[in-house]
Amino acid sequence: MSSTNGPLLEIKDLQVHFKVYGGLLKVIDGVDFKVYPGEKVGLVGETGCGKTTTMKSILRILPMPPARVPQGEIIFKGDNILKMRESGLHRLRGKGISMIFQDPTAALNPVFTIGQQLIPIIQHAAGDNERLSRRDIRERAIKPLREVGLADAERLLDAYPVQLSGGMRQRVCIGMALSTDPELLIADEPGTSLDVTIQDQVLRLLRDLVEQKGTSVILITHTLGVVREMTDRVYVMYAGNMVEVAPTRKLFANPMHPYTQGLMAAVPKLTGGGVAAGIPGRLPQYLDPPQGCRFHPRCPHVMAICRRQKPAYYHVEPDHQVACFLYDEQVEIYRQEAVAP
Amino acid sequence: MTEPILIVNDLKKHFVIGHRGLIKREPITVKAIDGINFDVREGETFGLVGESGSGKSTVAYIAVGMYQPTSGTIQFRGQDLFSNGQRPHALKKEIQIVYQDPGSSLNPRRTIQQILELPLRIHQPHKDHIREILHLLEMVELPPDYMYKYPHMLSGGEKQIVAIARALATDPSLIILDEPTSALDVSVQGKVINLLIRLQREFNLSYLFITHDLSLMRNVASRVAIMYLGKIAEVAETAEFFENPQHPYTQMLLSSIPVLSEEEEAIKPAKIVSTGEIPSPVNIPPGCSFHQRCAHVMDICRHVDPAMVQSDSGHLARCHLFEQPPDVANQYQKETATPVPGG
Repeated sequence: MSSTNGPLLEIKDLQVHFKVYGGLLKVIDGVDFKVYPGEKVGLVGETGCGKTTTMKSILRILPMPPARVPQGEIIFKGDNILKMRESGLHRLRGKGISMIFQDPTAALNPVFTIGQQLIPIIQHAAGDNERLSRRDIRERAIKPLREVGLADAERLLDAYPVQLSGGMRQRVCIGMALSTDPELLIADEPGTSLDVTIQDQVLRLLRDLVEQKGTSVILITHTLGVVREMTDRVYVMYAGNMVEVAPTRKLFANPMHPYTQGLMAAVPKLTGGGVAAGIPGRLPQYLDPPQGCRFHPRCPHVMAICRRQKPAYYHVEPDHQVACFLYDEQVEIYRQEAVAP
Repeated sequence: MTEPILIVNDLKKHFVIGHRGLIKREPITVKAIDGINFDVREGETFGLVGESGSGKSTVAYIAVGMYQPTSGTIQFRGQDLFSNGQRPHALKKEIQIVYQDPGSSLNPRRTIQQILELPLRIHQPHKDHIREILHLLEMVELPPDYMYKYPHMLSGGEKQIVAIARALATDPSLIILDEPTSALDVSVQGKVINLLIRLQREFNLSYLFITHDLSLMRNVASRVAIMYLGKIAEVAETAEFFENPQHPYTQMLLSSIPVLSEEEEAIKPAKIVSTGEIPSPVNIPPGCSFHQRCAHVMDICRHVDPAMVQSDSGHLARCHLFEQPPDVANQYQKETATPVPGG
């Protein structure tokens, strides 16, 4: 939240295209994104909206080709990641930025033990100038496993992933990601593949650990409730665009973009009251995305200008921005235009 | 509303997954369902909630006849579903199922017309199938030209709606919904759920709704049952269930749900913090299967499995916190009197 210091990570006007048979998929269409030191930022959106693509482009782990970045900058501590050489990336990954993936079963290699997968990370973090004995390395490898609440850490180093439960595997992944003390952690749906009681445990653990270490976090998820409990600030993404950004409490108290409003209404509530109809239509095809605002074919408040022009960010409050013409000063003029097209 | 359409009585399903020992070959079994009782009433939505491995899908598969139960019975309108060999056509048509993932439950090489035609050919061979298919599509609010499309041309929500139309094709009385919306995005879920609610009203359908999403059940079900490791932990009317959860597992589950507002937060039993792992169904702990994770664990929980009892507020809960029938106490005395060897 310390906006006096500069951001730790800043994405400026990022575009990512995929060249496929039949044309060009314009998946990420001008995304701006910031993370300040020690901040927990949420990134919410539905399947296929570009959340993971954005995060993979930060770590430069998108397959290129078919992916291309025709425009944009990703600045991490003053360096543009998109212009980094392989050696710089090598230092960045792990020590600078770590990532936790959605499915811990797929993230861990089934034919190596936990130790065989964790120890190279410890060695990488130690660098070349530190000579470690085998015992030192083992000691250091046990530490992150203890931190994530795995009781029998010593024995776990020699266990294979299949011998662990889903919750334990995700704990191992969290331990691995934090073992290098990164400055930024990207957590991509860390609880989605787990049962709700286990998800609750894993997310609480993750929150406690990052708060203790002061790590900045980007939490990607499609579950709004998880964002509310875990983050300080939220970005809402739709079809490759950021449509709204606000501090978490403000966003949940007062969602402003029609998409955010629709999304929140669609979640079934524990207080009852029936299930809302949801948002009509479907996510657009990236091969031929709608002109203007990409949400306009599904928007209940659509005006003529929405079909023509892409909305800019309107600062409803200094820290609450929304990309929607409803918050323009001339909205009344736009509305009349919609009546008589 | 009150007449039960489906009665499940002491149902068990044990799978043999291997053998242990060289000479004395003992089977290793997974007790996917281990003695459950419930009924689904005519015209209601009965929610069966549980985490993965709790056996909720196995209940669905037994009800449609994909598995034979190990013991126990399921009765549909008074008729035992597994009494004599093959289930007759007339009974198969009454119970239909909608699966979790429409991407794999619809054949990718068939058009929607072919997909909807198969149940019609089997169950209504003399009718005009094209007209019936158009009628089905109209019922689920899909345009008629969808007949000629293939599943890959539809969105996830539309595919699931086709799967619902396929279930409706036989004109059933009971539809088993096995996580029908958990593969869908939340903005699409509402459309599918509201369609299901409308169809239920129009055709007086009964639903056995299987899910892991308690928030959804709050808004859809008339009664809810919670399953844990093959057994039912608690059953109650929906409003009662959420306002006044009795079983410690229900309380833990409710307190783990991420919610959107302070009002919802107030409903959650906040004091119960989720701890422990879900044990493997191959190796279910003795006594009450939840005792290792329970905040109120007593010595009796480690030895004797509690019986299902009615609590004051009309809930059925299976927990030693509530007064148990005398034979449970007797069993505990017997268990603790004989010393456990080595233990």
